[in-house]
Amino acid sequence: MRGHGAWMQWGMTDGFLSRLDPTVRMLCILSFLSAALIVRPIHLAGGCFVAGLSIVAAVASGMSLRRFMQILAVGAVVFAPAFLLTPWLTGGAPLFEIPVLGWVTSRGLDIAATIVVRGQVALLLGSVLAASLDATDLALGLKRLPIPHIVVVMVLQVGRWVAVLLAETRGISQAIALRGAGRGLSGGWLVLANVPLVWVPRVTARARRVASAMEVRGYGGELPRASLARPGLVDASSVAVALLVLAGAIVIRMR
Amino acid sequence: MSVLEVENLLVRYPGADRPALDGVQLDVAPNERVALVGPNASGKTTLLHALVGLVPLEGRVTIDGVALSKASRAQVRSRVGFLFAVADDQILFPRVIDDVLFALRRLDHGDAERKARHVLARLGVSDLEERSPHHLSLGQRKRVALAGALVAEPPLLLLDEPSGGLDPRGTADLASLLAEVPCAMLMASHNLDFVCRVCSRVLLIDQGRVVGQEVVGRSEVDQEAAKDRLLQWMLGSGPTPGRIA
Repeated sequence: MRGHGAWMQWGMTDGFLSRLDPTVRMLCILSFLSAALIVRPIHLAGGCFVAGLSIVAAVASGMSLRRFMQILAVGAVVFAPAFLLTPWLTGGAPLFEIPVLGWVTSRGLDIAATIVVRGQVALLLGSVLAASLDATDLALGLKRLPIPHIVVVMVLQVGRWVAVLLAETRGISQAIALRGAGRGLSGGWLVLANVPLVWVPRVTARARRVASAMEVRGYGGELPRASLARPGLVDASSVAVALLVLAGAIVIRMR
Repeated sequence: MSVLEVENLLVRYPGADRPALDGVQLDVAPNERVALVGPNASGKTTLLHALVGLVPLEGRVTIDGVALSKASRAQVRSRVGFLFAVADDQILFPRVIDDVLFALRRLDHGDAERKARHVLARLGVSDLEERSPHHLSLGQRKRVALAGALVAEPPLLLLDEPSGGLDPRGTADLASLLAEVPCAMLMASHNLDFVCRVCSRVLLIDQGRVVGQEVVGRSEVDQEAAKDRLLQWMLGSGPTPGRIA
């Protein structure tokens, strides 16, 4: 998987964030995300705050500029269609008219821009968290939080198998495409239609084999035995900074 | 006393017109290495799965003195190390060291770590302990899965196609490695060169029955001769070595 151009991968960065205690990492990113959602990103102070926060998080995780830009591009594709809703978001001063659809108002633009910015930030911070945590760190970090054991086990197993399933999916689609099914629009649809038909039985068979292995090895939902070191001064300082960021967001929102 | 005893083993899959295993008898002595050789769908994998209670069976299976039953299944499985045909399927943790440590979950953590590191080093994969399984090559995954199976020092190791997908160098390395492991083994394989190097006895299985056996000497000449007889049988152009009525 490494170096195959996937834009979001588990534990792939080794920046400052990756050296923090896993629970602290999660709390910091959660606090950053909450702060980004609290401020109004369409105001100058809020916009600068969100932009600064995103850059700080990306730099702290050790993410490359290229990957940062890739995430922004994916976010733009996913969230920019929110602007298509603007003719139906009424209220505020009318700005310009789109023939047939109607007037675009200042409130409509504000709402659409807020959706786009908040979506982008959530995607970026999610990627930062995923990139700075491998599945084991994630499970060990979650173990410390008041989260049901079964949820932590599921997160651990999802972390273990998601890359395997992605590789399997890539293999199936490449095989279908190589056999000529991917050519042209109808070929593309053929690939799309056939991937699940091949994928589901194959994944089911793998799930059965994994279940057999779990049974033979006596797996009953155990988590890795490795214990985490006690959080140190740097961890405590990072939590303090994250809480200050959150407090700052509340102040900006209330102004 | 044998480490594995099988008497009149019968396995029938629902809807199948003939049993997958029919009256299988075999035994494996402590530290003995036995191979199961036969065509595709002859029942090799089913036999390995039946020995640890993964498929419903009739007959008697005893491993290290414990008779397999619903109640004793966990006890039997704790006496067996199992290497599945697809090693990736049995690596259950996202980090190599955690997967090997899992087999030692009842041991003190410090002792378990020392033991796990020792086994990983013995298998030549100690540099992989912090790695994620999906970043490993097929050969490395086999070794990691084998480490997870060996670390608890089971008296019996069951291996399903251990050399499957490995290159000649990886196959030779695995054969040397298994030759040094101090426990009994029963392995299903199509790789005749591999089984003749590792095993002292080869059971021939066809249509769910053990139909013959070949005893393999330790000299290279004996191994080549045994391999030739097995190959002739597999190709249908030679008699069944050590035919069992």
